Amino acid sequence: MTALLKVHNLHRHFAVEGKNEWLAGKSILRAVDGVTLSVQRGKTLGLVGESGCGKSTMAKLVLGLIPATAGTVEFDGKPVTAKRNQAWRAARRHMQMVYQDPLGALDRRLTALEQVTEPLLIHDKQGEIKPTVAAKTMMRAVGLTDNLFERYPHELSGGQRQRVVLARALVLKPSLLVCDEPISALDVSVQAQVINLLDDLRQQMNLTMLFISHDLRVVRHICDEVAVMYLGRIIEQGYAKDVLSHPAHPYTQALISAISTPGMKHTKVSSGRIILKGEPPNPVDVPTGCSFHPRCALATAHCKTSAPVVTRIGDGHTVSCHLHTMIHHGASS
Amino acid sequence: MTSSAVDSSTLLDIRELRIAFEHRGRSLEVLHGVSLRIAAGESVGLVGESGCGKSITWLSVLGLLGKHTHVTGSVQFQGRELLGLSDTALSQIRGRKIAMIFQDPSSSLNPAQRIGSQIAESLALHRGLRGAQANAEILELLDHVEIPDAKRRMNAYPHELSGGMNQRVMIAMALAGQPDLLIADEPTTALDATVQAQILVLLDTIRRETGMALVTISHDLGVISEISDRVLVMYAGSIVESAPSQTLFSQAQHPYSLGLLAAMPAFDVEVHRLTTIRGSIPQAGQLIQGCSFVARCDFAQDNCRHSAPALRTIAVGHELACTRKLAA
Repeated sequence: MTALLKVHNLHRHFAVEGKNEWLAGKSILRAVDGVTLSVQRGKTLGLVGESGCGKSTMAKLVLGLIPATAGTVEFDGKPVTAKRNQAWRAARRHMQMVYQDPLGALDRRLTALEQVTEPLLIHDKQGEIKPTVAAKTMMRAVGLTDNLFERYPHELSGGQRQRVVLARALVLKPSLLVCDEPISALDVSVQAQVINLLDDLRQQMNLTMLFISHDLRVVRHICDEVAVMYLGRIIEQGYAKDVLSHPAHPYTQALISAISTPGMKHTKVSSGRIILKGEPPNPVDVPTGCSFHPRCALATAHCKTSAPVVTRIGDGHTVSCHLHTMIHHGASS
Repeated sequence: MTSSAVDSSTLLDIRELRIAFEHRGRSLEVLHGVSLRIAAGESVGLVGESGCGKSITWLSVLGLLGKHTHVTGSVQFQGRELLGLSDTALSQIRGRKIAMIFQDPSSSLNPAQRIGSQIAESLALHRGLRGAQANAEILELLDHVEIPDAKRRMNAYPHELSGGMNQRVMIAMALAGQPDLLIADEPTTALDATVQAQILVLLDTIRRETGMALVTISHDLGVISEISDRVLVMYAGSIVESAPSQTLFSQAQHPYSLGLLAAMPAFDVEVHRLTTIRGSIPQAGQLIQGCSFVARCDFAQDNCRHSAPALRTIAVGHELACTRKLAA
């Protein structure tokens, strides 16, 4: 199997005006700081992490919407750059994005049908099928009924809007779909509908997906592989069933522990669960050594000074944590 | 706590609360006769999807709905009727005896005011504390909500603090009036997973320590199940099921409650397809004959289309608004 998307040692740094007391002296925000990953054709990779960890910056880099500071993104064997040239435009139609807030992603002055037709008018000028016909077919495929085609976004429900966003992304038959928190803004009963729909479409269209989410339940349900991000770095990566059933990194363990299970005794709040100290640090001021050490219950003096390297602990399962480096290499470096 | 002749354990008693909005000359009813009771010190969860009336119920209790709403029914707090109370009288209760925190702390806080002085405002208003006395209390409150380095942080502006810290500030402000009832409207929805756990633990601890009652409003059954003794499920402006947490999660009876539980992807078992509730919630004010859930219900029968089922007791502490034969 070949990788459709390859990301190698990708960096994206933002310059921050260092005027207030928190940022004084430092002025570089390392949103993405050396990420390497690949997504196989037809597979779904879940990118998991808390706000500010760089997930959404990753999405923009992968799609070539913003330039990388260093490192490469390769899509279907060709490099993706943020230069708005012919090659970039040609690649656009093969990589599409679904956003968190469908109302914000849609043009409020266009009807649902016009929104879905628009990509065809831009990219598919010589298409054999009439754009509106192709758009209608796609809209029906995502479960929108004909009576909704002429409606404006405000006249649709949240779930229907997200279906319009999906139809618009898929109407060009892309090979890569980047979903940034696609269901977070939806109601619980509608979330399940959209997840099932994504699952079906992925199989029917042989879609490759980069699925960005903070919801580990959904990731577990829909993703083949998972990469856990913390402060711009991937700290654990592997098959979803391995990473989520046998998390190796203390941060992954805490994330999984934070999932609340309905029906568990409500005293769970005070029992057995890992509650992390503090909050994700400011990415402008990344802690030394392992960036997770200030919040880690298992941190040693070594973790404060030296950054862990990526260690392989199983079939395709890698982790960046000194606890595992020590086990696998005897002593630490 | 001062209590009159009424059942001393009942803190809040809402009866047949109906809310209607004036809209283009029409009256749209969005809450269809909600009755519920909160005991002192109790932790109640309110779950439902957007538009089901879970927030508006509390906004009306606090008299925060605009002029174009029509509220009927009765809301008794510590034996005193709140509906129709003048603004002056209500301000003795609002924010003081009944406090509320909202989903997005950064939009609830004043961005141009230091957090210490925002808390001082509540202290002056509700407890008449000023100067050094107020300062000492602010530090105490910030400590109570576990904000480290409180002395320095009280001079920070909201934008200098993270979302989790701001939510802690909101909780501190709510606690400033020493409330008997705290209403937390989606308190952790805007927060990260690991921070969400911290805030839930904090709310639970504070409730146990202070003996105040806590109403948690959320669309997330997981959140509700963690800190509530009792859960109310709302759908389209009515309570459809009410049960102790444990019972609801193991023996839910209403098709909507069952659907909500089933729609959540399980973490430990592999499921190939999620159960969904078909269709979507009815639009606010849309008149539905019979049960409001009928169009989405797998168990619907003819009689469901004619009359709306009333909430009835099916076991101790378990109420249900559905005529379906109970699962054994």
